[in-house]
Amino acid sequence: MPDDSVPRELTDALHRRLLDGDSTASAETAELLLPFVVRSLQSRHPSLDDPHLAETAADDAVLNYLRRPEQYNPSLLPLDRYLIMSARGDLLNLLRKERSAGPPQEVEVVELDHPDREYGADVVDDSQGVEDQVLILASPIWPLLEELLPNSADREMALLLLENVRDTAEYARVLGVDGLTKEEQEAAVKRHKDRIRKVLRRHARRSELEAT
Amino acid sequence: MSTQPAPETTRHLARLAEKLRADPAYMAGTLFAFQMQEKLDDAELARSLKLQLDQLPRLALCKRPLPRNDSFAEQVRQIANYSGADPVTLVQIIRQVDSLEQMKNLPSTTQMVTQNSALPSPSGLVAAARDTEELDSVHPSDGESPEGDEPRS
Repeated sequence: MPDDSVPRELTDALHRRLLDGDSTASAETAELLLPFVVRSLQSRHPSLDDPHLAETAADDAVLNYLRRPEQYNPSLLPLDRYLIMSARGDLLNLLRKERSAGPPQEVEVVELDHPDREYGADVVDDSQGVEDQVLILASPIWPLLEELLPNSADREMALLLLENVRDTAEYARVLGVDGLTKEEQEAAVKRHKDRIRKVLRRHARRSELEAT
Repeated sequence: MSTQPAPETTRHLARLAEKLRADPAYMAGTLFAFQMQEKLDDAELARSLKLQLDQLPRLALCKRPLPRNDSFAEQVRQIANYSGADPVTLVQIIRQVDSLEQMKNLPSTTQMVTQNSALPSPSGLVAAARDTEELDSVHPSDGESPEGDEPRS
């Protein structure tokens, strides 16, 4: 994982100061988290046509938070994860806009779950994993994460999946199994990832059926 | 907190500050308005605040203290301490931009005559003048004259 988490105590304290209208909390928050969010997006999307899109998306996410800090709920997830998630949503929106402004692209058939069920979808970037595809296909999943995954560790796992994080250690930390052997960590992480993927996929399919 | 951030961080902060130039809630808006009034570029603004150019973004991302607020002087001190900016110049800049904004918001003479109304009390300007006295407490206690603090006209 190219970016470590920002200490929770630090971001929680900054959040409280921001809510209190502290004069320097906005600058301190930006100083601490903006470079972190940019790095995170750039490392997860290394092949963007326009690398500045990651900066724009990170800026938008941080600005939105600074202007409306009350919209962030610290009990759901850490601030750094919230900003990365928000920036990632902004980045996907920017990519969608770019795509719709450009020439029409080929539509490919994407297999989502069962081998006998197929869904047509625009494939934006072959480098995107199934989690990105699910995210693009089922954007309503963002506000529904809490409903879909009542357990906060599951939600954090889901965010890591949606952010395309590959490092097992990051998932192990969230699950609290980072003290186990590497093999045990991998097994536990895989089990949880598979379960969460199923939930996300099930919801993606349901959303699509409801939309038709 | 006045340790200078890494150059990459400064670049990100500068970009964000630029996006806040139109936002009066942030120092970015106040500094930009002052630059427009005084026709200053970033380097000149930084010099007047006794800052290095790359320290400006930190200052710009702070919330703008309101002169009519009881904790104005305290907020200015906090911002000055964080950004490294000269507090006296900071107060002058905020006051000047605030006063001009208030004047802009006053109805024009033509509007007042047309509406046949009595002259409104320029309470904002009186308050600004009162702030000036109160905020003198922000000046350094050693009585040192703040060289070059006067905004250029």
